[in-house]
Amino acid sequence: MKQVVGMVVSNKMQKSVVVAVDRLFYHKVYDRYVKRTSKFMAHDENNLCNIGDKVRLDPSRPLSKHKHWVVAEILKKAQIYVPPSTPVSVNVNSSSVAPAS
Amino acid sequence: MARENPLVIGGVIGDVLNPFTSSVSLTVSINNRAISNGLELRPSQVVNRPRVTVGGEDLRTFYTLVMVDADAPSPSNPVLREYLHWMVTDIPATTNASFGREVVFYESPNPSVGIHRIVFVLFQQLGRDTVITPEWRHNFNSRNFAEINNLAPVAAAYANCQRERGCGGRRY
Repeated sequence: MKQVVGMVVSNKMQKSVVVAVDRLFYHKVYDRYVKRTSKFMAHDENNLCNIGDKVRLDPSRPLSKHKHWVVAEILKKAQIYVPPSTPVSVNVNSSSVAPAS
Repeated sequence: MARENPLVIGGVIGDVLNPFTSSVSLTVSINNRAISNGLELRPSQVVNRPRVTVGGEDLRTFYTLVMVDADAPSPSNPVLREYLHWMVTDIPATTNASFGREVVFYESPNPSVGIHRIVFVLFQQLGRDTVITPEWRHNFNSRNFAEINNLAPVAAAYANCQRERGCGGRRY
């Protein structure tokens, strides 16, 4: 087993992430390269990974039923879009009380 | 490459032993089936002591076999690491464990939580009757034991063991 590089696609679990690893192989019938994706569960001890992060995985002993990889390194953090904060409009006349009818 | 070593991947080198070079063949058979590193076992398969065959060349060379659980009582909190299940000393080279002296009687592993690593370590002795028997099974330390008794690790193997009805389950 060797180190693999992939993209985090889920981090909803505690101390676990799902990493998608792409690979290319040559298909001799179709005479072109085909992309296939494998999804591995990996151990993330400190919950540092976010969706979209590029990570390197190391093989390890079975940590649970489906988990036998460990996140060795976060190669590239995902660019998380933060919407610009809209200025809060303060209504000056809000303190004035409407006349009683 | 060190990373390809199954003992490194399994965490045996690091948690149990320091890096070493294997120089003697060690064959551990359970129900007439030789175990390979990382083999999945159930407690019912290891009720009886495994058959351990030691390689080597000279009958005057003696070995000590140690069987420990590296993940007792649970892999996420191994406060009893290592738990000593079995120890046989004075095993002559080219024979099996039945020719040695069983100083710690066999206790079958019965993990309740998580996947436990059952590690078999073979140490080379300086001579016959040179090994001091440990007092306790729990919190046994292979490194310290080897240092105190002037033992050198020459072979190791490990298997994964989990509870009978479990299918992996959670580690935490």
